[in-house]
Amino acid sequence: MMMYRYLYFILYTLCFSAALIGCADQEGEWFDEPFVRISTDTGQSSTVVLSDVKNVNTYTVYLSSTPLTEELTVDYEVIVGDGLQSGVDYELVTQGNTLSFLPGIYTMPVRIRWMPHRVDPSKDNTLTIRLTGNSRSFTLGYPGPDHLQRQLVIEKKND
Amino acid sequence: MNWKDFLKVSTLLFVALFAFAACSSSDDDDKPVAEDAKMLTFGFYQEDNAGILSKDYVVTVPALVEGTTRYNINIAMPSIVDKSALVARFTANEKNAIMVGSTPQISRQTKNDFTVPVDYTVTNSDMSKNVIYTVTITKSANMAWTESTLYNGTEVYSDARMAVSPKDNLPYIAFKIRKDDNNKMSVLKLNGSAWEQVGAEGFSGQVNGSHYAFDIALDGTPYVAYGDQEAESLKGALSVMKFNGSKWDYVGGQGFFKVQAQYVGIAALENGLAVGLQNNSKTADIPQRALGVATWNGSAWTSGESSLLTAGQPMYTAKVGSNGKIATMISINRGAVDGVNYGHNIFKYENGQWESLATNFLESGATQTSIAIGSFGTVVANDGTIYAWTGDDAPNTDKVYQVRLKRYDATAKEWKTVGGNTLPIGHEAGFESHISLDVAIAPDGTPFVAYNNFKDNKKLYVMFLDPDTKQWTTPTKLAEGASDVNIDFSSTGEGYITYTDEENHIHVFKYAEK
Repeated sequence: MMMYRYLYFILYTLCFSAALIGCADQEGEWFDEPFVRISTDTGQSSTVVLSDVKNVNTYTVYLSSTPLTEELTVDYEVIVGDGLQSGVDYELVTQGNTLSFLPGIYTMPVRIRWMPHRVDPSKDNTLTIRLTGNSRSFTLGYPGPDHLQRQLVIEKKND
Repeated sequence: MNWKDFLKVSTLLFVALFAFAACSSSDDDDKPVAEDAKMLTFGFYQEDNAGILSKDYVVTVPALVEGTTRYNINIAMPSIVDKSALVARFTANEKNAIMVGSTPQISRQTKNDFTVPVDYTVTNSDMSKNVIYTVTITKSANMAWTESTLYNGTEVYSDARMAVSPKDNLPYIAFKIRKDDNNKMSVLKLNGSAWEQVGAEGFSGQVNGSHYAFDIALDGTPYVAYGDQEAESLKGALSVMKFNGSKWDYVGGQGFFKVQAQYVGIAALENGLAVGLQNNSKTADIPQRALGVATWNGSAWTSGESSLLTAGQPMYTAKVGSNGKIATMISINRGAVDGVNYGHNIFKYENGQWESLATNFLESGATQTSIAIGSFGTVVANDGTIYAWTGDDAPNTDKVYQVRLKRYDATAKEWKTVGGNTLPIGHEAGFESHISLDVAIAPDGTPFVAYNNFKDNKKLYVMFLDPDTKQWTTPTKLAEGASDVNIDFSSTGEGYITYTDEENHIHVFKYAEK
């Protein structure tokens, strides 16, 4: 009888271990909520571009998830304040409103060409890039009630 | 074993085997392994871009690193080259497909607009692996940082200070000798590739901690100021010494200012000297923790507590900058003053007069000014423009302490953040309190920033405000583990960066034409 109990113990332990070890190559998916976010290269969700800047700036959308086997598409919108004019203050270099994350790719750029032009400080001189959806219903912005970095606000200011 | 026991054992055995088997990747193991997605070569050739390029531009494609699927390929070209329709020549692993956006790329044939960065997506044959190479054409620069002669003649105490002489345009470095607990000042200069002693080694009294400063006047005279442990008036009193061409002399007597001098800064001006410090003694001539100032008019010192702050106001620390004509001083208050937590003050000294350019100032929305010693300072450009840098956690830094460089607009009488944002150092989780950061303004007015990057194992980085884009350049990595970072320029445009390594030896980088 004692031997059977010992045998049961071994088998229960085996079952429990198997459940714990699980599929180790998917470790993390059980604990991590996949999400996409946008920020500057230094991790900020708001930034300033001075009116004398003449450059193509890159803003980055980050995917945080376990490896995907299929493409993920992320949709975004660009909201432009009434103080900024396309072709005068800026140009959208990245065309369209969808970014494609192929398997293995975790960052995608949104590029904007900033052009030297002073702004009217009494107007809204912000350009907001806001994530609006994705093909797998991943969380937009950091997980949490505030969904930080769901959007990036760029404000053009006179130098 | 009865039937029930047999059933139990069998069931458990089955469950255990099934659980392990479910994790098996034997199916995957049987699949043939597809090739890597990998670009092998990349370049722009004159032959493929007739009439546009006058030479070939070929780069080494970065090697694949496990876990990394984005790579940057930077190619420097003269700014006058038309980059709007360049044809690239490239190779990738056999069977790989290469796209830019939705356009398949054919080597030596497909044109792209390289006035903006171009993302090449390389995909392997079973589409299981993707790698993106971002190709950016950068401006050719004819200037470069190159390492000069190492100084390992002795061990250097922390906070070695470097200044380029306005007279001979050579870098001088002042430090306290660490070896054998010498604790006295020494000054060297780098003449070509040779280090030369300036006066005797260990010429001063014993120095209190790392509380010493160094500057060179426009006539080339080097000065040091330090808390003097051998002063008779008070241990740690302020002493200032100048090099007279053959030896170091006290200016106004050893320990002339009865304070325990900490966080000492000195400006060597054409018509005198200005020194700032914090006093750490209760028995000094000024209250403990107060901001002390001393000015030399060529024949006598005037010293006491700064009259630009409330009497007895405790301060945390101070630093001094100058351009040989104007001195500036930045100090950080200790704790809250009038409800402002660790606000900072910036003063200007010119023609014998002190003037406040900022009092108890805190960036809008910030909790406090950072008190990390290496995160703040002040410098004056050759044209008199005053700069200061401070750390803060203002809202647009996402509550992470970041350093910003500010320029004083003398017309509007306000401080403006250079480049509009904090410096792109990119602290992610709390300000690194051991950062060592210095700023110099090149003769053409371009601000340069050198610092040790704690996100990258204290490596030495440098960046500058690009005169064309008006934005900070991507920081360039120069060297391994660096402390006590200094940067300065000669009037002829040669830049120098110095730092001490982990063995307390001095390294120098020089910025000059290639």
